[in-house]
Amino acid sequence: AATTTTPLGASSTVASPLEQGQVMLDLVISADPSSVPLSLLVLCGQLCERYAVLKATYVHSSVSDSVPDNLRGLLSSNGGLKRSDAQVAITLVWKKVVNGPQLMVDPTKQTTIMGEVNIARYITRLLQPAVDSEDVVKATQVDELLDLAQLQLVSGNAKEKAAAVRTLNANLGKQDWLTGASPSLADIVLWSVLQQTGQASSPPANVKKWLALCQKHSLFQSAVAFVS
Amino acid sequence: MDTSITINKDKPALAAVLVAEYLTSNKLTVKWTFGDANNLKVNKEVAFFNSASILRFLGRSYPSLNLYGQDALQKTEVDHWLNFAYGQLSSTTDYKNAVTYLDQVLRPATFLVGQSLTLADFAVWEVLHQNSQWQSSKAAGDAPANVLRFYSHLTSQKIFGDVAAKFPGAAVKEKKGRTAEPNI
Repeated sequence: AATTTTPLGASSTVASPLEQGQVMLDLVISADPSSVPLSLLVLCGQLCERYAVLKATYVHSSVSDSVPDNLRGLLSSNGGLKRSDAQVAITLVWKKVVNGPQLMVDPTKQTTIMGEVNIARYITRLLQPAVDSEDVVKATQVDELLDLAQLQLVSGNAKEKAAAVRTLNANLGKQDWLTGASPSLADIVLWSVLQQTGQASSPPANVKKWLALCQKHSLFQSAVAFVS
Repeated sequence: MDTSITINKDKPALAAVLVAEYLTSNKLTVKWTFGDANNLKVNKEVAFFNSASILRFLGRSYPSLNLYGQDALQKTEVDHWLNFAYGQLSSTTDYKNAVTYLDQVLRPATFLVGQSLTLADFAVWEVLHQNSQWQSSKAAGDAPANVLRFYSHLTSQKIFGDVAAKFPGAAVKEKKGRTAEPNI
């Protein structure tokens, strides 16, 4: 039976950066409209369940002719939330970006974070502040799958992409979800990346079964509509 | 907790060696020995073979030294650099752009993330050290200044210096065309 439990539930004693009474966190994410970071929709949905999130979407002039209507307002708060009441703001900017979607939180302190997998890692750390310390083995296994997504599926050649799909297929022969009996961040990101890299069209049996499972699971519903 | 790592002699995961030595020098016992594969065995069921995974596991298991960064943002910067090191910087075709980008980021900085050593520095040093394109540009005197400063600064520290002495860097490639035999 489909379950509605969240795999990214807060269950820790480590305070989230959002709960330390600091100033609002300001996430600015730039993404290319030709490759919609579907995992962002799922994770942003999770963030909204937990926090007051101010959302906005902008279209840069460089891509203004190529952004379909359903992406123009992808993230929006519809004026329902005042900036002063928000704990976190997510601003999505559609533009041409090299090396995947980019995230900037604090330009005075950080390097631009590149890649959908790394944006997903950051939002997960907001949702689940103890993710790095609670279960070290599990966290590292999830990261290994996210590295597979970034280095082989996103950046790899055809041969590497195919090898990555075979790895996933072998993994899914043992269990329903990539890291066990319930969906984790690895499932959200790999599902998203497989759709974007065209590897979801004729997958091997176990991957096919898993894709169908994702498609039905409540966690993925906000993103399923954007799968072409 | 004692952790044991095996290191492959021909394709050593040098960053794992460095982190093991660094932790040991800080009175945390992480042993490494030569073996068939780069491998950190956690228990009977779980082992990590990829450099990035070994580094992440060590950084998370020994959090007191902040090798994985100090907060959510720094941890994610470390992840960004691990992808960069074992992705673009390790790719022959992307290398040139990658090193140019690295040079820009390092212009105002001593370390890649924050003000102290993290897994990011270990990983990028490993990939540079074992990269013949980097060693060749260094030998030819045309290495980008900020990357050179970063690499030399780390290599001058005892742990990096010891590892560099034990595991020499990639071979320098002669420039093509200069002294080549005439093509008949």
